[in-house]
Amino acid sequence: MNRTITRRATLAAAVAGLAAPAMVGAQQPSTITMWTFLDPNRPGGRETALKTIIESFERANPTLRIRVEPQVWTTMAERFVLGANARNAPDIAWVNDNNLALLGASNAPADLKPLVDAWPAARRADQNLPAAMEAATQNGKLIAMPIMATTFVLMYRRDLLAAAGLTPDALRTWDGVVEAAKAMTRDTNGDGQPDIWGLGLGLGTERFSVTPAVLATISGQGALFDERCTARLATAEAARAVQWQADLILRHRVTPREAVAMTSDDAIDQFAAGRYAMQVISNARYDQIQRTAAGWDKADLGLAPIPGWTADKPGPALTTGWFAAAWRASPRVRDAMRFIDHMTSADSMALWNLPGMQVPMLRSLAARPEMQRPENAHLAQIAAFFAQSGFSMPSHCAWGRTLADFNLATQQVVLGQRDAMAAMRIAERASQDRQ
Amino acid sequence: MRRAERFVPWRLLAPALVLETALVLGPLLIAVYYSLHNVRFFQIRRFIGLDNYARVLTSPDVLNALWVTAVFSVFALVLTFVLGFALAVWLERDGRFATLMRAVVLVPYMIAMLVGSMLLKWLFSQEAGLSTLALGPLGLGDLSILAEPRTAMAALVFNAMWRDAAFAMIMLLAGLKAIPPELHLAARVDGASAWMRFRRITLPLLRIPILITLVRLLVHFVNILTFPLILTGGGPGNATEVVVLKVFRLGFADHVLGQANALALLVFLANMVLVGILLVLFRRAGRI
Repeated sequence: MNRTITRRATLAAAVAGLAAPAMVGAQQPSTITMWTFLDPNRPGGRETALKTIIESFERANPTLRIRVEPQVWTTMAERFVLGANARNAPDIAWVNDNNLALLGASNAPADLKPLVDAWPAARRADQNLPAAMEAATQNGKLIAMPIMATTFVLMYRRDLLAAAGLTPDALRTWDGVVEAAKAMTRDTNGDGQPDIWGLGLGLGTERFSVTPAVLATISGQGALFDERCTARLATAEAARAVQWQADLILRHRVTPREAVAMTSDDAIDQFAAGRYAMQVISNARYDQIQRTAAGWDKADLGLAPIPGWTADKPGPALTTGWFAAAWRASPRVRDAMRFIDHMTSADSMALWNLPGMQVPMLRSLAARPEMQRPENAHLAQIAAFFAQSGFSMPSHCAWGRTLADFNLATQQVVLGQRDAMAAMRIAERASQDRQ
Repeated sequence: MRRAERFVPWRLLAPALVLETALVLGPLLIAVYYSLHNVRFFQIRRFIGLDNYARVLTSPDVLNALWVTAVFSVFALVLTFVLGFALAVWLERDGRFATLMRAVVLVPYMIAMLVGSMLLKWLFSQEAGLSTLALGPLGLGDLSILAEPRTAMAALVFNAMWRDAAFAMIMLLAGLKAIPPELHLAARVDGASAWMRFRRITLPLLRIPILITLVRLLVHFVNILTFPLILTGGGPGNATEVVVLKVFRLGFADHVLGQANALALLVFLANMVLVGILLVLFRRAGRI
């Protein structure tokens, strides 16, 4: 008896032993790895939104787990592409707008178009920013899904504008901006040096961003590149815009000469410190500037659309932001695509909007009552700018460093090294060499 | 020697050789391979022979970067060495003050290059820094050091001098300490002046430390990236864009890795020439 039991027990144990890993395997969740600059375990609106989105996805998909590996945002796209080349990439990576060309030129991204094609017509019609979707579409493939859209706006100090006897209407044209900047440039301590400059600029060629000259050129000629990614920078419009930007320092003296040595971050810090009355800044910095405003009331931070050359047409609301790409060769690519779909569902978009404090990406969100509250008014305002004059750079062209080419051209004009057209010829060649 | 014994040195060297091959020779060969190809956006496209070398050597930007590197290296080398030498001679004697000052001089060298350059950037900033306070009484309150090509280069050289004079001081101080004091005593007894003792005893016996320091500093300055990247960003108007910053931008900003590798290999060859100069100088000094 004992022997029989032992045999049975042994047999049962062996079967159990063999079956256990398979059973565990069947129940063990599959893990999707995602690179993003957000850490869901840290405080913050976007972090909270991401955490909630992950939790809801995992609840709905008990066999799937999302592991977030926070990354330094500046090199994330390069590392994703290199990882894909080495066949060791995360399942999902976030990519910013000026790395879409890099992403598109690689074999890394999966085509997400089938996801969008499967959307109900109502979901597609609800998209508030088709320009963002277009920006990530290359050769008919959707290489990344827009998650957060940002744009550049003219931030200004309401108090200084009012003290100069002006209204935001004065900021509708670039010439109006110059006049307003002159009126707001002040020497408050009488040492002969302005303490508050009319318009801040960061014209360095490291850690640079969009400057008025870039936007004014787009305003003037419609685009910086043609469809075949041929740079169009040595043009009368581009030279005019760069000369206008240099004249802010040279002629109008509404911008400090030191701007040629400042990064965009330096300039934003100066704006927050109350040294500038106006500056073209990404709306993504709105909260940061309000948080760090020193010597002035954060409620005085105003937003205006990008000016145009004429009052009848505003400048371009350049669509920038963050996109999610799935690694094409991932063994979990289908699950990764499902999570991307979930991250951009109506519920998730509502979370990115609030508490994430991102511009509403859906029309239904832009219209919801919460957007009318004063603390969210700026988000609704930016959504309106997008709707009014949304513009996206051709994502298959390498345009990211073209912004630095504009800055270098402005530096050269300010330093008297070249005239604007000669400087833009160099900028055009540099931009073209990158294509 | 038995056959087995003959291979002992090779077996002992093997780990180092494997590591060198994996970490130095391998990447070097990959760099050569990339430099002969059109590599865009991390994709190797096609073989183009020496086109990348021709492009970088005829690029006005690269030629400017080479000139900027030469100007920076020469000024930084001379000033850093002179300051380091002066500090070494000044702080040679052991005493509380000298020990304290040695520690003070070493502080810039001990902190990270990046942090040091950021500190100096804040110092030189006209809008937010202390330079205006110093320049104001001289009637230069409206001068922005980092916004003018010449003063930006001067700031870059100052950054190098501020940080690396301590390295020169350490190297030369070690050399000074190695000189037997009896030589100076004997010369003093013979009536030699301080200048004569410095010229006839100190300088000749410091020849090797001086050579090592000079070549080490020169290689460091030719390959500098952090100072211009953080302090001046290569500007204004590319006035401080050194050649390694250009390599960095070609590779990691413009994503033209073929050209970046071609230029990096040319810089590598320049480094080899500098090391060759060191070896020749050592030979002449009779030390090899």
